[in-house]
Amino acid sequence: MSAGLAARLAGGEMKDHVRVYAVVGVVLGLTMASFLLLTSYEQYMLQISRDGIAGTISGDGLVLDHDVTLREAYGGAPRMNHAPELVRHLESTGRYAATPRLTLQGVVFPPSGAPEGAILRGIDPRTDERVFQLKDKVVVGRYFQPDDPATQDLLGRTVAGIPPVSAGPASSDNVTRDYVKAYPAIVGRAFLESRGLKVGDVVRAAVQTGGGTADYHTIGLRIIGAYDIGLPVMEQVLHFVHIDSAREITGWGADAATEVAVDDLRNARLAEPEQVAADLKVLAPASASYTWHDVLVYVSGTLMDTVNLLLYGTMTVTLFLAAAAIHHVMDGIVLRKTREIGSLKAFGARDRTILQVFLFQALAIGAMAGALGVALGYAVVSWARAAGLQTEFLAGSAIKVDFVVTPQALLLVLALPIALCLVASAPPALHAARLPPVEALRRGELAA
Amino acid sequence: MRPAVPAARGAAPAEETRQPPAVELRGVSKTYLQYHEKVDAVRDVSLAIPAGEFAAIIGRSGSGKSTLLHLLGLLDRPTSGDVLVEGKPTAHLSGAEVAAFRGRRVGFVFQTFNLIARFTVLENVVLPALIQGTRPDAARRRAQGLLERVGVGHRADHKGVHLSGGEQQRVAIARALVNDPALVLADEPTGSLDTRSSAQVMDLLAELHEEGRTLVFVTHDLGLARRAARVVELADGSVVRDTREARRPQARKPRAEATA
Repeated sequence: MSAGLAARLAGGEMKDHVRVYAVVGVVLGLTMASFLLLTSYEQYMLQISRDGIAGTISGDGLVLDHDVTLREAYGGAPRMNHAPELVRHLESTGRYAATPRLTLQGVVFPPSGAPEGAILRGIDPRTDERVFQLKDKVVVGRYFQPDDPATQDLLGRTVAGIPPVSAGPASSDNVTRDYVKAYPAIVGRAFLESRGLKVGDVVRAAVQTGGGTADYHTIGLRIIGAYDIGLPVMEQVLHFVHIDSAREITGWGADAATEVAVDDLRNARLAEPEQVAADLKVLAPASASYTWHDVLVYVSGTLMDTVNLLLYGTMTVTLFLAAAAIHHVMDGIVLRKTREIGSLKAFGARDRTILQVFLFQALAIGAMAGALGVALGYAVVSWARAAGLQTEFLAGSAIKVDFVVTPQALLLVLALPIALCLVASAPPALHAARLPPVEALRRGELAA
Repeated sequence: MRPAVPAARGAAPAEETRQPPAVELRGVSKTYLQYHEKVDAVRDVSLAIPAGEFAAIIGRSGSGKSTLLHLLGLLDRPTSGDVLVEGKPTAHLSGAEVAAFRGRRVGFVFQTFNLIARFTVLENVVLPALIQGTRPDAARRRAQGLLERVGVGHRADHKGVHLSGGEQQRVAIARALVNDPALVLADEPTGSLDTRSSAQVMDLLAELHEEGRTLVFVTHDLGLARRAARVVELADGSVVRDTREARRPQARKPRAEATA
């Protein structure tokens, strides 16, 4: 007997139980669609994070004061002690390039469009080139120059020394201190283009300087250039100023920094995170150190928190329930069709054929569920893109909700329900296949 | 002590042709486990069914008639003893070989017809042929011919459940014949039918025998059993009487397939 006939018999069985199969198939399909969306969204976020790091936004590691979290490296970190000494120490090993950074967070107010959260990263152009190579990424305008008027207009005054013009909670319109000065800044190309800005324009910004408290300064950012790392989501959020500008804005002094970034000179690209972690633990024992991998996990974790775990858990439970339902349905069919199984065996059907009849049904339900999952998943992806959904990102900025559907995820969504249905159906199918014909006929007659 | 079995009257077709029996039970017993208790359905039965035989198996309910029929058709395996098909033992045959034997050499007719409800009449008859790998168009032609022969050709596209009991059993007979088996085994083929339908079905079975098929049927109706050339009576799983009436018509010539 051909597998084709077994498939036809399976098809007939499915028509008999179309409702229950439809319910199981839809439940499985919805679960798989959720799975596809979740994994694809996760993949998208991982890609953003990975690209962010590979695009030289970070280096191989970050060193902060011992009680500073990685979250604070994206703005809000307190002043770091001994940053110059640490840079010299790390550089002296010959294994690491090191550079101080002073990162602030705030809000930018472009001439057009809504205010947007921003990370203002102060970098030292002299040493940063060895760690981040931002210079190579500047595609519009120019990179920082040694004689940039980062501090020249200040005339010896610091922002902190200027009395506030108004008091009250921080907001874009009501700031605790007001000092309007345009600091040279390199912004993201995506930011530049989406806001219709050009080199030479000044953008107003409110920058938090109180180490996490509501203490804001309004400043100007004069755009001298724009960088392109092929990652618009980061280009919208992250802007660079000269570290001296950041020091002036905070009023923290000439050697101030919030972190020291390092690059493992032994690796052309991303270093082994374990090696970097071990080195930094020895080289900067009193500090908190994070590797690029920690950054990746953190950035991913910012977007995909533990709710994902719950979602995955829920999906796993749903899959188990669907499997149990399929098992139960198949069991019921075997029970109801016992006489038919006996008859088929009397007509010469082999055990293998009976097995195929049931496994083909499982295969069909699984395949339909997988196809449904893919179709629904793609439908949601298309809808999300068309609707321009956004979600909150770092420093109060927003990024669009998008998905990266990998071939592996597609394969899994198609294969998992099939495997699940086959496994769930195997015990009743094997039971049916192994039923002695006489036993099947007798039981069938009793059931009838 | 086992009751003495009277010798069958008349000459057996197998003896006349010196061919091995179409199917033979040698010291066959079958024991079931029922509610943790052993039940001897068939006890040490030796019985040869020559090719071309028209035999009835009779006995009271629970005497082991159906079990004996199932053993003859290799639907069931004996607990002890062996079933020989054309002189060859079958104890060592694999499940696939036994299935092939059932499919190609035996046609089964059941008391409750066992038509598959979701299939049409024609599809029901075609099914055993497809199981044996017959091409669908050839199987359909043969099935349609058989349905015409048993008088239900006009119902080919109906679902089996919409037919009367007599019609369903005729469809079941057509289905049993679709692979052109040499041996037809019928388990109470008229058990669910009225008198008129019973007579029609028995006429059909007699026709099958007349064209050379070996035919064994189980019945508890002595009147029907008398239409057979040989009557084997069972009691408590043992053969208590085995009679053959020489005057009753024998098959004109046993089918070649039966001895192949």
